[in-house]
Amino acid sequence: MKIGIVGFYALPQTYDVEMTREESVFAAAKGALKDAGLEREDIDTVVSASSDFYDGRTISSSMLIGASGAYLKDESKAEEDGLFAVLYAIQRLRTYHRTALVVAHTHSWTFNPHKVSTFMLDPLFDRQNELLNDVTLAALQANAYMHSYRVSEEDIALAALKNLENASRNPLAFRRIVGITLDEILDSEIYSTPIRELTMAPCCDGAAAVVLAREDVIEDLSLDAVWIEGVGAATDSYIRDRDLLEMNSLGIAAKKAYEMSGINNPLDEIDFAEVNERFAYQELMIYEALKLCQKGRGKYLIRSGITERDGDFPVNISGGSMGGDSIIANGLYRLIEAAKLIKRGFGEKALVHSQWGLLAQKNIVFVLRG
Amino acid sequence: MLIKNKDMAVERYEGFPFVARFRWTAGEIYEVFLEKMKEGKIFGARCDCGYVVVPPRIICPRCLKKLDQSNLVELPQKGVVLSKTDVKFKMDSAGNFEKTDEILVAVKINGANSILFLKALEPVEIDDEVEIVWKEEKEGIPGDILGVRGVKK
Repeated sequence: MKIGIVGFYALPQTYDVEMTREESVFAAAKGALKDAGLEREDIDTVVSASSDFYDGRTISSSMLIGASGAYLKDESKAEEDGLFAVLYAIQRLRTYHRTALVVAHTHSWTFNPHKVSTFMLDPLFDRQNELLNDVTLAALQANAYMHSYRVSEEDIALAALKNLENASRNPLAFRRIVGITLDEILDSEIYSTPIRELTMAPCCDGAAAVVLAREDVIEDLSLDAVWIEGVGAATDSYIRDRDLLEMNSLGIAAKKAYEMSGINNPLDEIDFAEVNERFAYQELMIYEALKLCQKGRGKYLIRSGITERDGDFPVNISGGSMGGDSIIANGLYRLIEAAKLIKRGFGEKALVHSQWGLLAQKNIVFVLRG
Repeated sequence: MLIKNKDMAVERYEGFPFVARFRWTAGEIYEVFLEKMKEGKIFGARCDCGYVVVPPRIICPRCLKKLDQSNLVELPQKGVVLSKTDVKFKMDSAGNFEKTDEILVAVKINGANSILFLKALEPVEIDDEVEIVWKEEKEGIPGDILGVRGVKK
């Protein structure tokens, strides 16, 4: 049974101290339903993605029932990235329900989300190290990767430049710097070598929603759909027991998604990709784990311009996470940007990726088809 | 080598009011790791598959076998730097970034498979051999380890 995306909506990523979580979830859910041409009554199940930690309250979905349209409906919540909520909704559709609404949000302005990363650390040992957080861990991985594969800081900055240039044209992006240059990136403030302000994703507010439906419903109601051809997800060990040079769980997730969608050579068979690179160096590692190139050769994809918006395999035409990281909603933004491009006829097949956890402990990959 | 802290025994609660005792166990073998830190020793757990996990955990990260106190092994105090970063900002307890200038390293202790993330007390480079530096008065907490410094060749 095939599942299709029949509607989507994403709010501009921003810092909006005036907007409550309920308001943004409501706007996203309403927008996606309108896009699908459906009413709240047409939705069988609602899956929301939000985090108790980021929202500062337990059972973070409890106050969102009205906003997400889940009142007196089948409802569940997926923690972590919104793409995992989509995977969960697919499972719901393949077992019983006919239509699903998935909505994800994060409001970052009230606190520093990087602080939350320290609560992902082993409380008995690593959390006692005041220097350890998602940024410094990424810095350690970046340095190990750069050292092993002779990747320069300029290679990393080129990945950031590509995405920031793309973000400057994306009305939904949070960080839009028109005319951004390589020197500006290389001169931006250092947080932890080699991670700089412009080579890490800026946390921001965002909310996004998608409506999914089963093939029979799509045909019955003559809905316009972007099809989900393949999904793969995998999770790795805690940071202490991982190879810093590998994104093993992403490799496995991609393999599953490729198998499910019958893809043998992703670089040839997929037209473009939207990936969640919380740090610019990760984009190179993501290329390798997605088997777009050999290990350590991600820098050549960047240098050659293959992944530029007018290249053979554009990656992050939306600007990716460099344009704004609305954390839990990030994966849905990637999915929506890819679905939008397919609908506009930019390409037939797209890859969508998102990640969760310290050093991308969990990864999820979707293959979409127009 | 069985270390059992009797103070860790938890009473069963009946009825109200519920009293929070703020007791938490680190687990059967993690507890030993913390206890042994008082003596300035680092213990890991060696699984039958050969994987050495440090700090020791009850499930082998590689083969998922259950580990217990019989798997504990003392590890050397030296290791190799896998990666390092010059940390320019750290966060206070409220999450505010404040300027700093410290070094964080990922170290593989000789004979272990896990990576330890520790401060470097002096500039070191990737692939350098380093040793663990302990506090004078040790309490059996992670803070007993001040960090690492280069091994003089």
